[in-house]
Amino acid sequence: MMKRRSLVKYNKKETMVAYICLLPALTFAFIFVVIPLINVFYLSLTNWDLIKTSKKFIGLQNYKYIFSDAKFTKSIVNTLLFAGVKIPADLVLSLCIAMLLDRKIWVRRFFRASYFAPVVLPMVAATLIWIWIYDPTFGPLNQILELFGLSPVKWLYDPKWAMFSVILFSLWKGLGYNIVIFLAGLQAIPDTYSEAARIDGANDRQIFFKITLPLLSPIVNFVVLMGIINSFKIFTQISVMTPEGGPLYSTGVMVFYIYQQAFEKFKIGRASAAAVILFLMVLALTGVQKKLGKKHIHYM
Amino acid sequence: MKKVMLIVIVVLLASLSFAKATEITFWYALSGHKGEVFKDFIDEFNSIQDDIYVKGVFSGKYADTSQKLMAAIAANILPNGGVVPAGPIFTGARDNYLILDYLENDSELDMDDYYPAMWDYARYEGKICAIPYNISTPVMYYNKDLFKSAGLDPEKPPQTWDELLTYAKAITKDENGDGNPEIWGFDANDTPWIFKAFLAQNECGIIESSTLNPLFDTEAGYETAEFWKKLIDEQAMPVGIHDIAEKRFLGGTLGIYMGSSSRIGSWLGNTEFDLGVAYLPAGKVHSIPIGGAVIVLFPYSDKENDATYEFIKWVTEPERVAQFSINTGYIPTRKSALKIEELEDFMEEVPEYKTAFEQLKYGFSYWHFYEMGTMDNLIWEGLEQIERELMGPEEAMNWISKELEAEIEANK
Repeated sequence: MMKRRSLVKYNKKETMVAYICLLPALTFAFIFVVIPLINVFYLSLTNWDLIKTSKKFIGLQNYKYIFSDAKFTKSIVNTLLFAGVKIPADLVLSLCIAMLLDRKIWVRRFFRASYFAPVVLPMVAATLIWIWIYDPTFGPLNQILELFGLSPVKWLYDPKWAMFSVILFSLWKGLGYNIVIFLAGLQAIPDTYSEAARIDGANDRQIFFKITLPLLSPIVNFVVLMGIINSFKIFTQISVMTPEGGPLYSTGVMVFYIYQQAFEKFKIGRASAAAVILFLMVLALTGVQKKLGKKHIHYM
Repeated sequence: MKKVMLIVIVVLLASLSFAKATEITFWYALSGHKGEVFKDFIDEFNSIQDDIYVKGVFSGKYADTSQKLMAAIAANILPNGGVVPAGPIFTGARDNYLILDYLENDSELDMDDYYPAMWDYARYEGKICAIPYNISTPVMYYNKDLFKSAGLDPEKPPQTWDELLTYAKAITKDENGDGNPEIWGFDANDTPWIFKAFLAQNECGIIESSTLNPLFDTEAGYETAEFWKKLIDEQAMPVGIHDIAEKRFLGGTLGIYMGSSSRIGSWLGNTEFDLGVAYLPAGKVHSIPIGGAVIVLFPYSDKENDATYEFIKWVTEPERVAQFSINTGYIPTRKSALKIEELEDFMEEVPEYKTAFEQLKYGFSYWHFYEMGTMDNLIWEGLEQIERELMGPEEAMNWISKELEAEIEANK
């Protein structure tokens, strides 16, 4: 393990140059991130609807409303369900595939490209293809099921299966990205470690759990962090695959709820309140994750 | 020398500003071919006169345009006018009835030339604050081939609710006998729109425009919901796959599809089966809820407002309305447009359009109100509850009414 480089003292001129270089990015971040962020907190306390001229301060009424709205609580559950299934599945699958692709297997380049292909596809286009795959009567997925003698599933149109269908699609769509990151991580681990362990008599399992995984931990940490952030802001595939939030709102996630309140019902106040809750949830989760991560991360 | 230069510059600038036409910005939420037709109007208008220059901006589809309007309101950069969805929400609801002043002072305009339902579609709290423009109605599309194979007469589409039910039942087919029909009789994508048509056909007013009192929880409302349930129970309509109804219809596995008349142009002659277009069947009465976008005017200086209205006036003249209908398939908004020869010839040539255009005499609309989007969401949810047997028809209608009332009350 190597200690992080201690901070070097820079002189005033160097610091100034740094700030000047950062200025454009900071300005953008301030205008498009910081100000809206503060504004959302304020708007969540008003009854503003963007259209009418009146903007009244109404205290915590929007929060009271969304927490008494069964759809909002359902959207929290749906979001947690999505994240809870997708993040672990994504992690395990992409790590396994990355390990396989790291070996010298036949047509490795072809496999690498094909796993990465869905990532570069435009989201809406990919979603439309999968709507066809999921077609309840004529979709290829059901035809495969029938080949194996299984009864067809209504996928996106069945409250029990809709969320699972969206998760399956999202896994396929995003897997390649994590695979590439894991591959880079795996290739950065020098072979000398595993060779030395092998000479000492370690088997494959021991090498994986005692050497590879600990040395990959910063990457795992990154993948989980990005997984949390991306899962909580999932929207496009939900809104294209299930334009009304799915059968009985079974795919209505938090961002979708926010969208509906703001742009279908013109309730900016309520949408802002829901956005604040989402913000706090992501903040708390990434905080916990960071704390947990610190304990277990090993740097080379 | 300097002085001479200065004078020259001042004179140049002055002459420039005098010669410069009033420039106005006009949005249009018409995409693809329809957008091009409208763009051509703008270009034509700019070429036939020199005083006004209209800058046309395509603002995206309906949902995008709504979002852009909301952003423009927040940023105070609204256009001078536009063809936009839910127009009265963006004008009347913000106390902007300017367009009505222009309409009332326009001596050349006979407001009765528009159908009353059209004006209702442009009202907020009873006052006109927009001009109906690209208007469509739901029509009934049907697959003549499927009609034949079900032993029905392809030239006789269903004309009543009972016929709709029996015909659709006859078309539904479970070919492999697994209990899930592959071919369905009837479905629609936009179920709230179609359900509102059914409500009106059963003489349920949907919502009292002046008091915003929801009318779902009335006998007429219950009956309509029961009919919806009957369609499900007797396997005339599938449960919960409305999102793909249009796709299934075009794929030839849906017998009857109800949707916007604006599809006629792109579908006619392009389907793999023989396509039929007909009026919606009647319940107790014929009734068709109209939909689409309207022209609005956002106030700026008098000079710009006058210029904007000048353009609006020109683009809504019967000749342009007729031309727009011929090229896009939208319903002609003015009665006099229907008498223009070109349009008459066109309807002769493509009788399917005649169906959609003539249907307008049964058109109706409630005034725009703020919770319109909420109401449609509630109808969607209520119907889902009925279809999945989580609520009885009566219970679902009571629920919609109650929720809607609460939302309207909260916003007062």
